[in-house]
Amino acid sequence: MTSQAVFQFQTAQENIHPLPQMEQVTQLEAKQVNVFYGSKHAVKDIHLSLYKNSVTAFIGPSGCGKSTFLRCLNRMNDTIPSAKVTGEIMIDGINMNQSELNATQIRRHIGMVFQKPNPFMKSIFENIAFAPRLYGASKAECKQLVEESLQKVGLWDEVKDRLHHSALELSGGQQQRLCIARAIAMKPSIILLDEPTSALDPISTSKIEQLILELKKDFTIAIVTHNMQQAARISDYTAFFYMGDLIEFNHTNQLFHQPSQQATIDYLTGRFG
Amino acid sequence: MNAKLTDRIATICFYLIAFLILSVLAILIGFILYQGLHVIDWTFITQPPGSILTGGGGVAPQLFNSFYLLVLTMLITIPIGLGGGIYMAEYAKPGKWTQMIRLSIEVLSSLPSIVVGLFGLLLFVQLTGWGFSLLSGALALSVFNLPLMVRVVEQAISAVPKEQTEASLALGVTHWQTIMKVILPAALPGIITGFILASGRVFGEAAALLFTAGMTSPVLDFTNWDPSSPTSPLNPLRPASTLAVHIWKINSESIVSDASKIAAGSSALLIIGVLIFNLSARFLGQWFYKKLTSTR
Repeated sequence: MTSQAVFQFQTAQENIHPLPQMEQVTQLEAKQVNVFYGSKHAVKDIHLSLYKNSVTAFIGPSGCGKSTFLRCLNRMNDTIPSAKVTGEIMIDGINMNQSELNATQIRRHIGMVFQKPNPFMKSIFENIAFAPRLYGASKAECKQLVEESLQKVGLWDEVKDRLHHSALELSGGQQQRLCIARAIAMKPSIILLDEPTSALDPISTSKIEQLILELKKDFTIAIVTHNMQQAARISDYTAFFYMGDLIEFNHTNQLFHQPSQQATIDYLTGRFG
Repeated sequence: MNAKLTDRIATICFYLIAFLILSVLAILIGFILYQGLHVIDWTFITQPPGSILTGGGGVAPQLFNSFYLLVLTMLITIPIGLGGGIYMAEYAKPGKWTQMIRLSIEVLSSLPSIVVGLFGLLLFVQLTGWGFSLLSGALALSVFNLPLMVRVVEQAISAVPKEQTEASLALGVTHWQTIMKVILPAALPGIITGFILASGRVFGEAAALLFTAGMTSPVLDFTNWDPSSPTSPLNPLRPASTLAVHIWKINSESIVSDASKIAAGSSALLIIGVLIFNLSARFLGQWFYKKLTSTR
């Protein structure tokens, strides 16, 4: 059973998208990142890179620190008073994890999509136009951004006749795609997805997975997922977290096919998690 | 006793309680309207009170004062209340200081209104040298409307899902912009409720106003809109009796022959005024909320 499961991952990987032969351009490099919640050491000494135009999946059992680490990358842990993040997060040679740098400005360039679809209690149009407008986009630019972003996430045809209806009228899957559209409207370089499909049905999930594969042409993507098949289907690199440690980080194919650590093997074969 | 029967009995009890509350309200309003409605006519609404000898006349100045005092009070209460509520919900860090503030707010909201009135007499009437005035009354009313407003705003903001804030912050929107453009619009229905509750207290309050806004109204010239003129209805430094104070005064110390009639009419008018105000505030709030959130 064990070897079969691994074998299935492998074939799925080969069928859907063979490992691209691309040069690795580093988009973001995390060095010695630690996170403390009060006295709890939640993320321990993580060293990890995100490569340009690739999808990196963070997997691991609940509470392993993968979401916490993801939230370091756009300084969202700043919003939790008891959290302390140390280490360096380098983007274009600049350490983003220093208090002198404005977290607001950083988040502008790193989009985030959350576990539960969280569209604003505003119209579909406003959901997307809201943040760009605050950064000075004109009325015409906003209109164009809305259409462009909705086209990209494949939502345009579904909602173009009701752009000024509340976003809460959309289904869960549509809401999540709207949230992705909202993130890409800011034209970020990196998009972080925190278990974006865990609240969705299988059809919506597969739509979002297709979308992620589409989006990596323009963006660098990091995705936290509970679903190992999902990681195998859509990611180029996979990082396995366990108890706050980064146990293994490799090409997805390699990690699923030939894991080097015993903990990875145990997790992949379902012995825990 | 089996579960089904218990459930049925409990259900009946709850219905009875709800019915009881509704019927108390219905009887009260019905009684007041029955007593007072026939007194209300165009003269009653648009004329000042008649002289002591002849009686008659209306309550136009008092009706106007009630609404004008509401406006003045809300001009003070809303900005400070909103600010306080936003601070408590979004900025206050848990600790001794915040606990102190919370305790102070609770104490302030439980002060008897007569005490607030006497405090207002000392501070807003005598110390400021304004004498009995609308402004003193508005300040005294603000003293006990503020805690209510702060609390309601804080609760309304806290009830907005955290995910909304996260979504906004993750887009690179600042905390302040998030509060103004995401959180407050979503919290609007709760804030409107607080506003209406606070308004109800302004309409109904008499004790605190006796010593601050006074029990009399000067002769008002409703064509004079210069706020600095003593006969102008808009002058905030003139004394003014509201409908509620008028009802109290007419009932307790007036010697006009038709005192009970005037009191009954004023009560009915006050109730109608409050009802119309509440309904329209709710309606306006709903309309505004729908506009902001695009719900329909």
